[in-house]
Amino acid sequence: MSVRLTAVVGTVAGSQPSGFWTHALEAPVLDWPGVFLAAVFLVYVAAAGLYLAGTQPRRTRGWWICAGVHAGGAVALPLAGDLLTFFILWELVTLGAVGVLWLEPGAPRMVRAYLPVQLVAAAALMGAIGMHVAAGGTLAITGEGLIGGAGLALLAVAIKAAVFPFHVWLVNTYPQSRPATAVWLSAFGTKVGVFALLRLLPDSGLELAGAIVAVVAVIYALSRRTLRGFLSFHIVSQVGFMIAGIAALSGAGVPGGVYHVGNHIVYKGLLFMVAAVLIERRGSENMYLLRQGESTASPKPAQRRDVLLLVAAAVGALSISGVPPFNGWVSKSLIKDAVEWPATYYLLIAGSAGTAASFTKFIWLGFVSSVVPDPLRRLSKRRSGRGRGKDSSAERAGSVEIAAGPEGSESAESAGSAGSAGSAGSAGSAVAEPAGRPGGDIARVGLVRGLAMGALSLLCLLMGLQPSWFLPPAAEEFEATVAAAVSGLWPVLLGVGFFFLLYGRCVPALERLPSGEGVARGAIAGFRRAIRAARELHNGDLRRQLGWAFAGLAAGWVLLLVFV
Amino acid sequence: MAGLGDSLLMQQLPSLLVAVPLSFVPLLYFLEKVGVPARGAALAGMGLCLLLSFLPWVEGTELPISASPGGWGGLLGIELLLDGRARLFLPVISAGVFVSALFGTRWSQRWPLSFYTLVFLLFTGANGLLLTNDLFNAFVFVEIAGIATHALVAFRGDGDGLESAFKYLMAAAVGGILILWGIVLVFTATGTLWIPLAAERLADAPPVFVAGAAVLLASGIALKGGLVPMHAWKADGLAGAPSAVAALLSGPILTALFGFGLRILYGLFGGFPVMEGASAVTGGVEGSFGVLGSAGEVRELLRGMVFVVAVSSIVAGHVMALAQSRMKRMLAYSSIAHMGYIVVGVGAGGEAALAAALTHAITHAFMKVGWFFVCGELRRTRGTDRIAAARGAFREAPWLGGAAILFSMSLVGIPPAAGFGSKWVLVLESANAGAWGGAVAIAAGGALALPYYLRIVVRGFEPGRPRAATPVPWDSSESPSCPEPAAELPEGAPPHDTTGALGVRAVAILVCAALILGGFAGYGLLFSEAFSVATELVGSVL
Repeated sequence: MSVRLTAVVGTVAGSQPSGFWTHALEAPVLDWPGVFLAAVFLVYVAAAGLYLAGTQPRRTRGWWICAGVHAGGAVALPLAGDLLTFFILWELVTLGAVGVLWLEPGAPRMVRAYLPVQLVAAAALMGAIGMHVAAGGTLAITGEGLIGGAGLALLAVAIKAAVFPFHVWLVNTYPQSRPATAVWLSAFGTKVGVFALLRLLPDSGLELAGAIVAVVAVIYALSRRTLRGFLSFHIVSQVGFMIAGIAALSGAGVPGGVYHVGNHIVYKGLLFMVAAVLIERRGSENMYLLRQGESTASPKPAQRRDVLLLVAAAVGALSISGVPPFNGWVSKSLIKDAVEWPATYYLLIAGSAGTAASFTKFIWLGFVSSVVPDPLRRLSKRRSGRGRGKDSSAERAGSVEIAAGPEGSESAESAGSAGSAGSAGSAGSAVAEPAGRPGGDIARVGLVRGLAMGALSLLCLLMGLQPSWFLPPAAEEFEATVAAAVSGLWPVLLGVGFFFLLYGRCVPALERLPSGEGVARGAIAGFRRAIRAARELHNGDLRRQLGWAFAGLAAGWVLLLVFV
Repeated sequence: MAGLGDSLLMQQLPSLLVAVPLSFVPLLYFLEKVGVPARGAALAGMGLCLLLSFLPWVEGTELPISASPGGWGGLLGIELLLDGRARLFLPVISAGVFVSALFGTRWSQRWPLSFYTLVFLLFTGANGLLLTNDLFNAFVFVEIAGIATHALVAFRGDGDGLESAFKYLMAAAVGGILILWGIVLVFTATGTLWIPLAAERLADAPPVFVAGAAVLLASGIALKGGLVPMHAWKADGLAGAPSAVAALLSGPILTALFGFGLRILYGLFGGFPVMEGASAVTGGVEGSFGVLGSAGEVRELLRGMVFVVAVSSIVAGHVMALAQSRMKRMLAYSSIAHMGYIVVGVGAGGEAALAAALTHAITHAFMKVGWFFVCGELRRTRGTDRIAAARGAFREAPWLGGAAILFSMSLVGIPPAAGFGSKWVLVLESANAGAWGGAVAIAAGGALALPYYLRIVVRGFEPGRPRAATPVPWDSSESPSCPEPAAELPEGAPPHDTTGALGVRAVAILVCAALILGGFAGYGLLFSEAFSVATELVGSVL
């Protein structure tokens, strides 16, 4: 591994100016986390490429180039052997995503949400590497991580991996791109950030922080009404799991965390694919509108075809919830076993339960009914909140139905998705007449997309049944016993029970959660104000210009005279 | 090429590098009288200078080459010295001047003789500033370059140009006076203007003189280079200049000024050693270091001031660039920030950080020249350098958009542009030399810089053109102050130049783009050359 490639093309190693040559490239690091992640990225590139090939309208060549740069950087990054390559690939991942977003409908809004914060991450990473070198480190990537600049590196990782307070860029871009674009983007950016944590800060000690992020993000996910907003918050939550695993000190943590990264790419990709089909079919992002107007009693042909989609959705949901024998179960069990503190363990259990509740909701609203069951409300015979639940069917079923419309707290979100619903027409019209769309004609899953989803479903099952085929270090730590199955299953049952018994009650409270966008807006406004002030200072008055120059001179002189 | 190393040509090379551009100043006039077009003669002359500037790179050349024109020895010690630093920067200056002259078709076609005469005068000043080894000539060359600059900035002859030229004149005059006072202090303290002798005698001079001279010279150079707090005139001074002139002043001339600053800093005052407590393996000479070394406190105080200046230049430059709505002003502020980057490398001290600063000065010259050319093209087609007016321009000329993206990537520091290499090394080496605050500021600079370039690129690729035909207030055909060109413009001619000069201008832009890409490919070579120069500079102090 210690073969030193030349600094940049065209230089021979012998021209090093001195013994200190910080600018050399190292050969790729081929250790198991890197190779595993690169392989999973590659497999996912194939599956998502297949999926996009079966999606209308076709993407332009420019889109594919940007998407390829994004994915290519992500595939190569886990293998980078030195920090220079690592940084360059990190930038490629960012720039590719910017290009993809730029070519989407509604681009300015997404690029504004994405680019500035990613630039801060890139700058922080560069600064961190600089401080690492300042502390005497080399550019080669070793198992030890950075020896300086940990704070800056942590900032870079937190932004790139969308760790909770820095997640705003994610939930403002993925849900607003076209549905199939989110399929492509969902896999790469955040996982690169998690992998950077492993490479740069292996001893970060963020176990508890990861678990807290997992729970908080699940709560936010439960509060979402839009399908991909919901899935995006689940990315944030699952990133919390990965961080808890990678930061856990005991042996099984890192294999568990890395395996979870791979598993998550597969099942979250699958879920985004299902979501894209559902959104195309109904023309709406709103989870409560997915089944509205359709009777479950006499399924139409289009709904019968949903069975295949239901299988894919169920596999994804079971995997992310950690039901044995799907892949999420293996990695989540490893992470839970590895964590050190009881608090972390119980938080992760809570996160699992919340995930299970979320995905019960996903299956329920996507394939069963448009209303959330609320037995408590039926017991108390009270109507739900003011202005809501006017539908008599909601009353009859004792369920809570959330009306879609501009008065909801997520009106901004649905307005954002309206511009980007893309192929399936605007969400606004779909909201107006949700039942008017003949399902099957709009969006067939199609053979190509079906193949992609089937392959990922199969992969979910295989990664759960045979972890040794994929990541031997994880398989060594893991034993598929009945006890493991039970400990994986009970949080899931808890979550399912929560959804059917209590969730309907919690919806109003959940929807009042602060979104944090005010903070971001305030920061931007403050920056604008600072720029305006600086501009007013530089007002083109020659007297002022020369006055500053003389003041600078005088200050320098006085300081020196005092000291001399 | 054997035998060239010690030929008469090589012995006289420093004098020739000044004399050839200077002789073209009157020569152009006479050549035109004989019937040789000024443009052709000027470009040939600049090609000759470019060739000369590469001569020191010929195998077997022994540096430094010293020449004392007029044979003034002793205390007067008029000397031109071609050392490694000059060898590194000479081709940069010559190539920068050459492509700028190539690009400046609009004004050079109208008044070719005066344009090229002034450019040659500026060229003389830049080369001389880089080569001179005595303070007397340094001041002469500063003034030569300054005079040519003022005329060139005002070349458009309209209100904007005159305002810019006036502000440039005032600022540069103050800068020149500060430098002169510094020289006077040095002369008072040492009785000589020859830099090596002055440096020797400064060691025994009263520290008040030394510190005062250091502050004055540094302020003068900072004023000319546009470092905070002496930067405020810079955007105003460049806003009215023709694009080719703005490119000249921000690229090659700044590089020459930086070279002169290094000569003063290392030749006269001993430079900055590596900071104490740095983990650097290289550089770092302990104990007394140059003239200011005897007073370690003063040296560290100066260094602290340098860092404050550098970091505030980075911040102010980028923030102000974000606030601009005109490209030339934006690029001028960006230059301020990049001067800050370079000064961080110089202040960090040690060979490696200094070498990183040298390479960044070189890459900055070409990427900034390239961006000014793109700006000039936009002005040509749009009639203004307003960012809002760039809409659709890159869609019409994708090659121009590609070049703009490349130069932007280089200025922001994104691979595969040369600016990434130099910025990366600058961050690492400044941090390595202990200046981690400066390193973090440089790293953060990229995050501030990308939005303002991206804004133009996005605007340029948007469909459509700017709404109304843009009024052209600067156009000299409407300007009462300068009626001459109005006679030349045919009636009803488009307000901007759409003649077939695009070929040459495109070549100038593509040359810069090729240099930026090639600079990335050959970055290792460039850096190792800079490293040997830096080693020589630091070594010369002892």
